[in-house]
This record gives sequence, structure tokens and C-alpha cells, in this order.
Amino acid sequence: MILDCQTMGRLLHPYLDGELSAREALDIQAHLERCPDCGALYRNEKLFLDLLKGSLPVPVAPDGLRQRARKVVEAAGQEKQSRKRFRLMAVPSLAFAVVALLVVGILALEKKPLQDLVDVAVNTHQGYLNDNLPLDIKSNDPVQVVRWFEKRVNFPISLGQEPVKNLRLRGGRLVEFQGENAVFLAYEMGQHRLSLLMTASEGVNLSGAEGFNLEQTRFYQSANHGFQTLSWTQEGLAYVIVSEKQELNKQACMICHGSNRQQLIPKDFYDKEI
Amino acid sequence: MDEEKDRLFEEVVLPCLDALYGFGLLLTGRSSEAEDLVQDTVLRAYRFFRHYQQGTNCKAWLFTIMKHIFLNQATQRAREVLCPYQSGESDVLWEDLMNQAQGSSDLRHEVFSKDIQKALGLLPSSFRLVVVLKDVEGFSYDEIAKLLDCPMGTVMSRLSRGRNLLRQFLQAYGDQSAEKHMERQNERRHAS
Repeated sequence: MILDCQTMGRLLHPYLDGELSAREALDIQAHLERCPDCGALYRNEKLFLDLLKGSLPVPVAPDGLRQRARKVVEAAGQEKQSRKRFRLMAVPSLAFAVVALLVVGILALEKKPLQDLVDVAVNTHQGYLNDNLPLDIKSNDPVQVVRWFEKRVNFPISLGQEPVKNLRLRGGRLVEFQGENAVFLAYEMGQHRLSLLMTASEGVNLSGAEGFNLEQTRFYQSANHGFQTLSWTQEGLAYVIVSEKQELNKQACMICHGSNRQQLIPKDFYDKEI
Repeated sequence: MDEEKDRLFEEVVLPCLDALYGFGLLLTGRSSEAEDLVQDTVLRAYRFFRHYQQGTNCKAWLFTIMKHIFLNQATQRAREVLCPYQSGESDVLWEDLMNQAQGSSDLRHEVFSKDIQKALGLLPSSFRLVVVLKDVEGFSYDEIAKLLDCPMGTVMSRLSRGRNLLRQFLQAYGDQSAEKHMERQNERRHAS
């Protein structure tokens, strides 16, 4: 979609806040590339927001508060334990039944072998962290990175919007998977480093120790060589996120899959002040 | 199993204490009340930790708990802070605020002789809340809308207006600083 300057102005803050869809963000980037006035406006607004965010006071809890919170939790934990002991003594058969159910539940968990794509993702991530596998393209501009990969892989790539809160693109490299080129993208989230491996999903069967569904997509999580992986397939592509913590993987994942916020933006917001 | 749960609780909840305290301060305006609110929130979070879904935004979950406690404890005050529409949001009041920020020397003196924290304190509380939730705590528009129980359009409008007002404060501050700088330069020149 071709944006006019007025729409650009209205979308600028949501864009800088990382609130737009990938498509809208790409439209903005395209407009910024060809409109010097909006480019200047963008730079000014970005400077202002960076200044604002860097200047606003970050709250710090008083010294004793952390200790008070811990004591409250400890007291609540002890209370819970004593109630639990009483229940176990009073109803041993029920406790036994609960334990038995737990054991059956644990044994029934899916335990599938990890597939090649997850192994490749972990090995590449490890190599990247150890500086053995440097990035082929170093850039935090998704448009530039996508253009670089477009000529080198046989599947369409659409990167998430930029800037995205807490998730910074560092660049990418080509990785061979089943005789074809796959895309390895490196990100930073705070001080942590994450990577995303993507390839065409045909012939790729993802699985992990445990699965869950989110917005009609099946995700698999697993631990592999000290790293945590989250993998899924969607619209003909297979993805694996790797980092040291599953929570980080999920946070990165939630940016695209965990919110229907775009649908919640009222259509008339940009036309009137509320 | 409980030890594991307690460990996870400490791992995900306790790092949010600073942010919780900040949110408590925004809601109550008083340090002692904010501390009590944090303590109540942590206790309730511990009791209901089984409802927390791992991997989701723990801070948003904790802020929601705090908001509910605050609503129950101080219904009237909570309405003043959290209700979707309040003074400062009508166009007339908005224009007044903008004019004040741009022109009033008293306000300029009061605001810009101190720091941005003071400027933030002069924003209507509904604007301040949204600006802090977005620009300090990093919540998404959707998360803020859910937390405050208001439409996303209202969040975006408040954020835009709050930032613009702060921009005016900072601009005037910059002008005043420049004037003072020039005055000092002139004084030095005369002295030499």
C-alpha cells in the first residue's frame, strides 16, 4: 500500500513503538525511503522518544520492601505447607491417588526425538555465539536483511516489524539444511542473544518434548545441548528459535503470535481525538 | 514440586518489585501506601500463582492484581486515577494545559528548574499513567488497554497527548536553559 504523508504522521508513533504489523511497518519504511520530509520527521520523533525514554525516572523500591515481600511469601509458604501436611494425614488415600495420577500424567507426556532442523538451529546458534559462524550480513534493518536473503533462498521471507520492543535484529547468515539454503537470523533481547532459523516446511516434521497451541499454531519446546528451543510451522515455513531460556523464546514469539492487538485498534482512531 | 514453584515464583515475580512499587506510587501517590500495595500484591500473586501462565508477561499479570487490590481498597480514588475519562482529557482542558506548557513562565520556572520527573508529575494522572506504562515499563498498547480497562484508542490518544505535553515542557526547558546560558556567557564577557 502506498502511504500518504498524513497517514504516515498518524502511524509514526505506533511504528516507533513497534505496534504495527510487519506489512504496515514495511509500508512505512518504503515511504520513509522516498519522502525526505517524513524522513526528517521520523528522525526528530525518534530522537525525542529516545530522549524521553532515557530521561523518565525508573522506579526503585525502597531497601526494606524486597525483604518484606520475601517474608510475606515465606510465611504464606509455611502456612500452605502446614495445611497440606494436615490434609495428607487426614486423607492418605486421596493423597496417594493424586500422586498416582501425577506419575501417570508425567509418563504420558509426549517424548519424541528431536528433528534435524532443531539440531541445525542449535548448532548454528552455538557456532554464532562462539564466533565460529559469523553473520553473512550485519544489519538491524529488516528491509536490508530481507533483500539480501531474497536472492539466496527459495522461499518468501517476511520479517517482523522493526523497531520491536526489546528485540533487536543483528543480521543473518545462510545455513544449509537438507541440501537447500535456510535463513539464520540473530537477535538481541536485552543482554541475551536469540536466533531464528527458518526454512520451507515441506518435509520438516517438528517435535519436542512438550507441545502447546497458541492462536491455532502448534509450538514445540525442547532442551538441546544446554539451549532451549521453540519450533513451529506456519504458512509453508518452519521456524526454530534458540536461546538459553524458554521464557525468552516465548517472549520473542509472543510479539507475533501472542496478541491480536491489531484487530483491537479501532478503525476510527486515526480520524478523531478521543 | 512446591520448591520448584517457589523458585519459579522468586525468579519471575521478585524482579518486578521495582516496577510494582512504581505502579503503586502512580496509583496511590504515597510511598507508604505503595509499599503496602506491593506487599498485598505479592501475597496474592503467591496464592494464585497456579493461574499464572509461564512465558506470558508476568509484570502485566502482577500489575493487574495490583490494580484490582487498589480498586477494592480505595474505590473512589481508584475511579479518579483509572477511569476512562477524567479531567484533562476534554479539548478545553487540553488546550489550557498546552498553553500553560508553552507560555506560562510560572509553570516553566516550576517545571524546568527541576527535572522531567516534576514535569511528569504535572501531567493529568491518566496521561501520566499511560506514558509511564509505555515508556518506562514497556507495555504494548493492547496490554495497557487491558490493564486500564479502556479502549486501545484511548490509550493511544492519552499517550500521544502526554508525550506532546512533555515535549512542550522539554522544549520550554531547553529555551530557558539556552537563555540562561547566553546570560552567563554575557556576564563572563563583561567581567573579563
